[in-house]
Amino acid sequence: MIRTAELQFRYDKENAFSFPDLSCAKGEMLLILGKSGIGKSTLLNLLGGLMKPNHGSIQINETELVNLGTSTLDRFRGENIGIIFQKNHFIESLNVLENLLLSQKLAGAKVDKAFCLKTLETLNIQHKAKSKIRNLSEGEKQRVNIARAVVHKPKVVLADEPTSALDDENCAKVVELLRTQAQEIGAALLIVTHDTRLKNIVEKQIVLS
Amino acid sequence: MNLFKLAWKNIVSNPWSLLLNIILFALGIGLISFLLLFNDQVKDKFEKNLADIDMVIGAKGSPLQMILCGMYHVDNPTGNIKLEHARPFLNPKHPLIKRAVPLSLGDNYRSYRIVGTTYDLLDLYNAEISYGRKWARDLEVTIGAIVAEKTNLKLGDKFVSSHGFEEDDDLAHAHAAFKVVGILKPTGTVIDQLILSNTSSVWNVHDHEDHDRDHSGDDAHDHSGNDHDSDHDHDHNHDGHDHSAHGHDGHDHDGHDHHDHKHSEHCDHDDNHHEHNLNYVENTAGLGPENIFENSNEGLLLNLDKEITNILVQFKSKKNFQALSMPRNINENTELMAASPAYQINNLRANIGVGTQALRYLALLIALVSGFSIFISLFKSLQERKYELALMRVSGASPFQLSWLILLEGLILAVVGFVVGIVVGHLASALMAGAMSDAYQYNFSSWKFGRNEGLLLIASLAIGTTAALIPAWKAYNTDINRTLSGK
Repeated sequence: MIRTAELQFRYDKENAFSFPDLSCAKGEMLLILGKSGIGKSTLLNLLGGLMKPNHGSIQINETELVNLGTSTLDRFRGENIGIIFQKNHFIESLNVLENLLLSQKLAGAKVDKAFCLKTLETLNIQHKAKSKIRNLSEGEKQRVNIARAVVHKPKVVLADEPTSALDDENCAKVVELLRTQAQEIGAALLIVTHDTRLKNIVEKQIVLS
Repeated sequence: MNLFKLAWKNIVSNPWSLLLNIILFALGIGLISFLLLFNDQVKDKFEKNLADIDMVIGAKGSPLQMILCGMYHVDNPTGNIKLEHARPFLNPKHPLIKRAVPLSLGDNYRSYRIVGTTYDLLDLYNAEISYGRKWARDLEVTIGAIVAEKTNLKLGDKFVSSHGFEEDDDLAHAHAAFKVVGILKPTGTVIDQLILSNTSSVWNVHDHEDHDRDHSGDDAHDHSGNDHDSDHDHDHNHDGHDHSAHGHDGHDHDGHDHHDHKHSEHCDHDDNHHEHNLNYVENTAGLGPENIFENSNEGLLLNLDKEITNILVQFKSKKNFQALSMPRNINENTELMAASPAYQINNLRANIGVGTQALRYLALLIALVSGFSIFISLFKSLQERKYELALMRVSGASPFQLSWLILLEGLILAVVGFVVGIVVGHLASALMAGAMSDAYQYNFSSWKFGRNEGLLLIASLAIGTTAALIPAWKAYNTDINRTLSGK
């Protein structure tokens, strides 16, 4: 589903990164661990098509990301990649359900209200469907964040530090939710984090050094 | 969920900013809309009522006042002129004059002016009879369409006039009642708001007063100024009149032919005056040659000792040098005053134009400030929503979609502001129309929409687009990675 080879990125002469080759198949979960400043977020941005590598290859669903032009990449990203950012950003003028519907619309996927509501139900926040984002707790926001990354049924879900602000119990719950959702839509799930608690939860791991 | 809906939600999610933008925009558009409406309507009224009149003759005074009084009926007369002095201009064989229409003013009914004139006035304004017929005899009137509508006067109705231009019961001529014999079709001109009669009716109503005054010991009575007021005492003796045909005690009108002279319910006696030519009889027969003669300039000129207020003149040729210099010759060599309506009205409009121009600049300034306000609002909103825009890009939105979203927000603000502004402008216009109608009996159409509104909409869209251009450009260039990483 997602495969990289000889991936390198250089901000300047002093800040250059080389990443190990990785692959994650449909329905699999891959944990990418590393300390702060090791290039985790850079790797996530490269995998998400938000930055272009200086060297190497990124293939998602047999498509080479590096070769795509800007507008094609925008479209490809929308259709095939779901990203869960560390900070919970939403369209504040829309309610929870509208945020999910907009995500489907922008991704070019079928606008499926029933699926959005089902996803919210799976995440146990269906009662917040009509709530404004500002009225949600941080935990609820994180679940909506997850829902938004999966409602357009991408091939790959990338999660950036999804558990860093959570206690142990909620940490395990969120990972389980991510796993469930990814499996539900048949996506490869990559979690990029420095949170070593996940070592014991996720089997397939790569440590950046 | 589409971009339009998102743009709308973004706008309404910040109600105070929305309110400020709409108020500013609506104020600018409303003021411009009001000025355009006002200008159009005034221009329309002025032009329609010009009626191809080349010259107005009247008593010496203010030329503009004379024009406003004689053609637009919104001011008082400058005075009266003797028919003897006016005779050359009323001569049907005048080599330079195609048509000369005499006007005798002085009375009103519920603020609608009663005009003693000839049938030529109808031709001047292309007026046609809708019901009934033209006035023929003394105290018969044919009323304009607006008069009929506003006063509910119908054929056969009688009414008592009041002196001057304002309705005043104390100034009512209770001794003489007018009877409606015809109603004109609407023309869109000033004639719609006039009550037309023959000239002798106007003379008679006031001569009667003169008699009252003469016989009640009053000294000089200045009718020419049209500013006299009097209570009418009908229990009087008219020397030189023979009232044998009716049983009015105290009247002795020698040497006059008498007919029944019926007054309205407001009048408490019948009165017949041969000298006043009150040959009014209760019938609705067609016009005979004698009626047509009486309502022509030739008929009028049989009373050279009488007075009229104005003459509306059309020249045979508008290029004839002698005709063009006629107003100057009249002003320099006679006791009369002559003025060109086109010249006076152009002067008036130029003077009004200075004021409306200043207001127009103010409105434009407000519109520009409102455009700047939209720009600031969008720009500020863009800063606050940069993560949202980056998120949209991550979700698959193209840079073009982001800039279109911002442009849509600017356009929506402009359109809402335009709609509110147009409503405000037309409401203000309706208020003004009410005031104008009360003051001058002029009807203005406040809810007429036309080309101006279309142009204003285009201008509004241009302002909205311009205000959103820079924010839209910034949105287009949103750097997803830098924004989401907080750099």
